[in-house]
Amino acid sequence: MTDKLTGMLLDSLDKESRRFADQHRGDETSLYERAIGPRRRHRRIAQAAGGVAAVGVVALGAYGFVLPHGDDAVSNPSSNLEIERRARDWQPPADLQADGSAAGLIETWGIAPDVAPACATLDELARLEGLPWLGGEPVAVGAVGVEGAAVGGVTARGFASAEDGRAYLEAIDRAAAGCREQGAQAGIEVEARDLGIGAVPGDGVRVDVTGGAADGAWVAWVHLDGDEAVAVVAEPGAEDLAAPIIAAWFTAAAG
Amino acid sequence: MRTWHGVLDTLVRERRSRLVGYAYLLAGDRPTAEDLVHDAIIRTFSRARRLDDVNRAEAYVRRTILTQFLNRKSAQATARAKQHLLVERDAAPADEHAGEHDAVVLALRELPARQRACVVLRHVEQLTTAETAAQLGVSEGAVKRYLHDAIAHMRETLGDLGFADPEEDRVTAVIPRRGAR
Repeated sequence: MTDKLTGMLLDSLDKESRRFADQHRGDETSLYERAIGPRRRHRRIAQAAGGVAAVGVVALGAYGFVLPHGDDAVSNPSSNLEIERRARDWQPPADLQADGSAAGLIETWGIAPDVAPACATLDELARLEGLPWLGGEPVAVGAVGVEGAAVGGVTARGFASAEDGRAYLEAIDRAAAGCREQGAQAGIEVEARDLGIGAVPGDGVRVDVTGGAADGAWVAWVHLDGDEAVAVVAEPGAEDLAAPIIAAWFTAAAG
Repeated sequence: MRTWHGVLDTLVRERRSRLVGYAYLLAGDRPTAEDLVHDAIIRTFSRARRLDDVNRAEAYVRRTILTQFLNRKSAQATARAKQHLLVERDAAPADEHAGEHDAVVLALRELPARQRACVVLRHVEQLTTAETAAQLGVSEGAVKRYLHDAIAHMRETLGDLGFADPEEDRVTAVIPRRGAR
């Protein structure tokens, strides 16, 4: 549907596009390639490091080990202090139960971890509890939603670096892929997507798990901005507040 | 040629000028619009893991333009830092071209950033209220308020806009970076 305003805006857009095209007729792709190439190489190196870490996680899960959180963890005290401050100052989009949490994937479907170790790994990664060597510690912010009903659990973590944070997202991708294969035996379907939120800088991964007797999807959404991540785990039946929660968190961060 | 090079080349040759037009409506001046587009292209192609489709790449770039526009401090700092990497612009500072802007762009420039973004997303991108809210990370009620205020202001400046609400039955909560797997 168009209207007069739309017509005026599209007209201005067209005029500006033509003006720019007239002034930039040469081959400028190489200029971008010079800027992009080194960044992609740097990213590939970081991903390779993250991949090695993820393989280690899946291997641990296959033998039923729990990921370590203790002395081996790389601390990131400045980020954690910042996260604690934000956890105090942010304005969640619904009621916050500071001591609340959402049910995990394994708990929701009653899956034995040794049947689907990748799902157990995904469960931990969704709470930002995995890969302690990437820095930081998970800070449980609470649960958002109406008490007594299904809720979304919120966790934040400051990684040692932005590259470590991205490696963590890669690990979630891999765990979700493994869980999709292993979870099929338990009657669940797993879908992972890379998602962004328009007004929020950074990247995220959202995993939807459906099937079985659960009424609705179990959702894990981990969003990373720089070295800081916030994760929302929503139980089946919970109001879909993941995007507003993430936006609210990082809005508080920006303020 | 590796895939991302080909997609980048197609995007720069065939889509970039439209992206500059889109950014121009948001930013309200040419240098900022061009910076937003240059920066968004570099960010998108530096970060994306799979870029084998120019339409998807363009969608990523658009989203990044919007994010960077709304996060102006960061966008301006990044644009300054990367300016030496890119084309030599012969464009003058924004104010020098002020007389060349259309009335609708001048009216847009008077709006706060989020109101401006709402107008562009609804009336140029033709997004629903829900989609606009998701893109901006705000509630649908906030989008309605922004639009109401923006249209009221633009009516004062431009007169009757023949405004009609676009359909609101499409819902998209988020912006896909990569297809579902």
